[in-house]
Amino acid sequence: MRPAFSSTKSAAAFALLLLILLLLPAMAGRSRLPSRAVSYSSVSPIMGSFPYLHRQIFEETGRVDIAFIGSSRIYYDIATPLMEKALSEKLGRKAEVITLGWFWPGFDPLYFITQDLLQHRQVDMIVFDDEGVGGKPHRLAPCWFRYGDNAKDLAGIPLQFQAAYYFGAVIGMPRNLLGRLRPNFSDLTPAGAATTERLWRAPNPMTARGSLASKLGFNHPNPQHPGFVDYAPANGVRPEAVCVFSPATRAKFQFTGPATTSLELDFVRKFAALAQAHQTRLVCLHMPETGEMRVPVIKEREFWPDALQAEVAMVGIPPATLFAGLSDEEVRKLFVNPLHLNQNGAEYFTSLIAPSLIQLYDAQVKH
Amino acid sequence: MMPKLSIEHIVLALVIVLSFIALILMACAPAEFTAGKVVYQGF
Repeated sequence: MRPAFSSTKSAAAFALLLLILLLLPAMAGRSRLPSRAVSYSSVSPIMGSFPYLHRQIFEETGRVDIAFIGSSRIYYDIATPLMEKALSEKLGRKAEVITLGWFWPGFDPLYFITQDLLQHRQVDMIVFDDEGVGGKPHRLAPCWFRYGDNAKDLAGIPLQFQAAYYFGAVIGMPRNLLGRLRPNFSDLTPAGAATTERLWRAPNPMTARGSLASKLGFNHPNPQHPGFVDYAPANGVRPEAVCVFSPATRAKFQFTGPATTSLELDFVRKFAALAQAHQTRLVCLHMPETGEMRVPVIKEREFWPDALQAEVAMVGIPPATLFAGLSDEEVRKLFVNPLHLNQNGAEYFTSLIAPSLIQLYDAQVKH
Repeated sequence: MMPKLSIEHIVLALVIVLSFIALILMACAPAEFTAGKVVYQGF
């Protein structure tokens, strides 16, 4: 068998290369990294509305009234322009409502991205949803976890996960070093701007306050999918159907588990503490899904105020009420797939929850 | 009697230790970190 290395010199060169690669995140520290804005602007729009995140976090400066932050269910399910219009009418001024969305759930991006947002902008209210499923670092961690910036946030988490995030930082280093050499385009290229139209039949999120207003029919990747048809339910459901958790609405909620993993708890509690430190109100919104369409109560995995050890308003609509009077087929006209609403569903859902969210916003913010 | 350590032994030991550390880090991380390409899967 041929030896792995032709000489001791080549073995030494390989060892040196490995050593440099492994130590790069620690050696680069913070001062040798490009600005964090570059980390966002260089992420492909197929992974979320990162170009919009970049603009909202690092370029815009004004106060944000309501920010919807989270993975795909927040990204698809909220018709942000509709919410902004409703709040503007209520306030008598132009409200600032944004959605910062990405793909694949996880409480760690919720924490790190919110941290970047709150470092740059004042946010009065954040609406999020249950991001816990996996109990492992988010797959896009190499895009936003940088050891020089975020090492302190790993304190207290199990060593195995600290190692995973460090490895994520190793993987992310070439992207960061490239950003140091040459900044990314300041805006999306025409091809980049057309990504969401091509993949999800949705306008560029930059033009929809960061939301993904998808015009896909149910289970689109399936060749048998029914195709998208404009549809607005006329079932008479009113915004009064929305439940905000309180002793009076306790019976409308059911807490089912499974329990949040320790890694997820760590980040979601950091997220809550961060929001509290910035006087930002938190609202946990229950997102609809087809599997629950006839369930009469709002099923949440956790009682979030206890899990987060913080004040969190829990809001939702019992699915059987939300979809009352609709056949299964009509319900599916509101969805892209079992977990995500399309534009029909987002507009229907947002129009119902908007008054309750505005009420919570009103109670929080001193005008 | 202990065999005398040569430079070659030390370099190879270093290669093995560093490779082992890299493998441990990779094993701790989600497979998606090193998947090379993130493929859209409908979510």
